[in-house]
Amino acid sequence: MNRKLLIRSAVVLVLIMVAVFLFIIGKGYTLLLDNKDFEYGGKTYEAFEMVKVRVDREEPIELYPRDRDMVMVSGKAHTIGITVYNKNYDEIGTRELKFRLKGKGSMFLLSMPAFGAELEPWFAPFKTPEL
Amino acid sequence: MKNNKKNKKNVGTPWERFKRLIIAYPVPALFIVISVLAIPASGFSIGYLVQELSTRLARNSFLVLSLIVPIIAGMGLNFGMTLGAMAGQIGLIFVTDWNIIGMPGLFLAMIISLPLSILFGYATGKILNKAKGREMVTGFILAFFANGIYQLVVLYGMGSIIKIGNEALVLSRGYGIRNAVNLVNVRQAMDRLIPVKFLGINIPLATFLFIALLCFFILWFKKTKLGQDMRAIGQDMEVAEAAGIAVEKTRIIAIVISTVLAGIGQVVYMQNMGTLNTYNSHEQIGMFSIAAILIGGATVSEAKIRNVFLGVVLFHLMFIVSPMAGKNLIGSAMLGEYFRVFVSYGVISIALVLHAWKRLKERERARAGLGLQGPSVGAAQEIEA
Repeated sequence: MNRKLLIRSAVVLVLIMVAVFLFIIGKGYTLLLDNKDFEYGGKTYEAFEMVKVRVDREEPIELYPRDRDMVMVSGKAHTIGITVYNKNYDEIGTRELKFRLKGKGSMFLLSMPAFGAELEPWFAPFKTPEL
Repeated sequence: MKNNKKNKKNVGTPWERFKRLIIAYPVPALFIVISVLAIPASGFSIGYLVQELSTRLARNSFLVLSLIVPIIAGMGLNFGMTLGAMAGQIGLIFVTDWNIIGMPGLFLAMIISLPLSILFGYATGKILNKAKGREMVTGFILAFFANGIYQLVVLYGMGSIIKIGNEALVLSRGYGIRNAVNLVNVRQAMDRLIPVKFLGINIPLATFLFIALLCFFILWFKKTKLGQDMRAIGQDMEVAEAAGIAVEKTRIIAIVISTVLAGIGQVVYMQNMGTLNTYNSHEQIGMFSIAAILIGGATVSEAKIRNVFLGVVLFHLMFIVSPMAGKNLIGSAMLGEYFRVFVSYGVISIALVLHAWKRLKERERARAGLGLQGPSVGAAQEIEA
């Protein structure tokens, strides 16, 4: 009887652990990819003329100045890669980074100019402004 | 024994064998005839039909397979599977609320449905044990009762007592789940996990593999001690009890397994549909699944895996072709749809009546056999003398 109870408890425990694991890896987040001027430390980092952003294995997204787009991702750990172009659409630089989303909320704002300039606060939780 | 069965099947001319087959499987035969007539009338191409059937086979097979275990245990068609479907839907509502994406979301919904399905299945099994011999009608009414409780919980409990953070899910009054839940996070997550295209037809391979896993489980389960006990109970409950099998406990286990599988099956079904109709999706599931398995040639007392697949194909072939066939033949798609509904549910009635009639005939034959035994034995003795 005790052995049976032990096995059943172990099965329930394993199921709970699997559920928690699935919750963590499957939790969805909205990443807002923002190509607008970014102000930090009294300095303005200007938006790129054109930037291609790739998050994980998603299709790359093209952003022009003042553009904002979004991608849905699951889990907290991701890879972001950008390819920056000048006015003549010549490639002028790339950057790739593995990162972890920090902070509460399910929506994050990722500033491309800040990311390109390798600033530390290049992403932050985003709250929809209330009307 | 098996050879005897094979020889019995091969006796007679091909026409006689064909006639025997039609008599043994009147419902699938009727559906095959209707489909053969309706397909050309619908004007659909074979490619389109195969694509549609592949999608629907992946969508429904798991749910229909969940009916097999209670049939083995002699409990008939489990109309109470609706309760499992409700558990699956509750899992999906939570997963949507928590914004869990893709396959993790699907599996999490299945895990959430598990304890609920076990609880519902246990309660159903307990009640069905009190209504032995009337399991189907009891299950049918039980599903209506459970629907009331489900609506109370989802319409009043969720958002007030049970916290729902996603505002898009909650009715504008502040509590209760909206009529339609967009399952965008898990939509076709399993169907598109292993995308395969064969002769221009998209095949949801991962879903088919998941269904195959359940088929293997059922085949394995039939051979286990529990499976054999269920078969013994299905054949004769009193003899099984006399043989020391815990009849009531085994029957409860059969219903619990069916309800759990129905819960998982509903998650598979809904991920394919992509939209959850909160207050209606589960209602028709029992009826559709039971219609499909009966159309596949199963009876109240016997069901095989092949009945499930044949039934789903034939039932859904009617779904696809009848509105268009009706439109082309009569000029109204609605009449075709009415015809399908009429035929589909008529088939459930025919199958149940045929089954009852067959059992009655078998009993009469057995009784007549017992009555004849005396004189025939006497006649044999006279001849010997």
